[in-house]
Amino acid sequence: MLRITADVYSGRPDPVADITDEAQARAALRELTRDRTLFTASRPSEPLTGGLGLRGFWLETFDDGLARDFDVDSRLYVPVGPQAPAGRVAEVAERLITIADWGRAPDTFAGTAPPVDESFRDFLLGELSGSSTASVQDGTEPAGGAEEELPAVTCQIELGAFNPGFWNNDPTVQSSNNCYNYASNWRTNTFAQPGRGCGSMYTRIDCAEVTRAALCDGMHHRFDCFPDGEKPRFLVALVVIPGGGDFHWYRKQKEGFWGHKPGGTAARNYDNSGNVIYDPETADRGPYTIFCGYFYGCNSQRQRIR
Amino acid sequence: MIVEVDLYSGRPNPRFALEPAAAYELARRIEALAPAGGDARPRDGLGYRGLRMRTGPDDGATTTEIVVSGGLVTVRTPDGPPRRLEDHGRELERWLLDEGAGKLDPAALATARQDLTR
Repeated sequence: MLRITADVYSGRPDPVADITDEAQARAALRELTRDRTLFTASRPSEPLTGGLGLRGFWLETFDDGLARDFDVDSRLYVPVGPQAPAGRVAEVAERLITIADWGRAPDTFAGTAPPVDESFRDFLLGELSGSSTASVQDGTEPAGGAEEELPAVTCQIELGAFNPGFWNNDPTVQSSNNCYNYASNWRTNTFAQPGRGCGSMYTRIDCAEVTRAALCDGMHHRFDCFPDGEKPRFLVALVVIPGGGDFHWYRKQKEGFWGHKPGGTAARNYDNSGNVIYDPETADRGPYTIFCGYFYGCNSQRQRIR
Repeated sequence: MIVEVDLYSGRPNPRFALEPAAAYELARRIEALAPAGGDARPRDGLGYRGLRMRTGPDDGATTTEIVVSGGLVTVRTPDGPPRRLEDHGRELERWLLDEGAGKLDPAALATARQDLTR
């Protein structure tokens, strides 16, 4: 078991939750300890902690075996936000927030912790997004003509900061995750396939069938909005090779360009001509010449992919 | 030995088995290659990128990785820096793809062969 305490409040005790699933606790520790600059033994001094809002997490282990396996002390601190070391910390923190059971007070916690519910997870993810993602409005242009003008559709979406190192620094991560993992911003190490997670993988490769499979995993067509509880809601684009060879996905980034990961190669933000991608419809996509359309990913979709 | 055609982004790459005699011939051909110039670069991006092979047990400690791509052959071993060799006229790449004929999906093979004409 892993206990997580959100270092978020100033005038009252911080919320505490447990990660009771042993496999998930180990996976989280494995991910965290891959880069040991992401955590410290103690909380940084106050002036560095960034003031109000989420400052970091305390993580506690309760058996010496788990601590020994990952060579960590019984208690460690993971800073997030501006004072955190650059790199993968937001990804790691997001996973910790997601898998912790915030809706149930830890049975064995002796201290004082305020009652929170599952919405606290969304609050933390929102706090975290302040450093790695931006929430923006994604809207259609109003249709032309004064009298026939249709109301514009606007959805709230998130744009993540471009962080290719998460995908490229570890050879196993790079080779075992593909464009669908990158677009979903979820590392499965399974070379995720649209529809496999929902039990209905594509049966051929064309726009209609890969779209069907991705919607089955939980994606939405663009402008079919997701609620706030499904953050992060990323804007992605699907393209295919004519004749059914393969599909490819792009994801829009916080910096305004689009990121992608061609198969087991490195994640990047440039196209086959070496140009930064600001429009996936006009980018040099090699043989992936059919543009299928834009979609939204979401939190439940990305956790479903396999 | 398994040859991976580094071709796709979403789907797993197609692969085919190289028979022992062909694997021996591959080793012989690689040993005959000259060192590559400093500006040679493997294919990258979307589409066909080259061919990848591994020799030895897949435990990372003793594996040799061979990448044949765009006129460059890169041999990586656990000990020592990568060897960069010149595949003049992409002859080795063409020979390897010919070995995959009848084993690979024809469309995938055609896409890879088309790249050889570039």
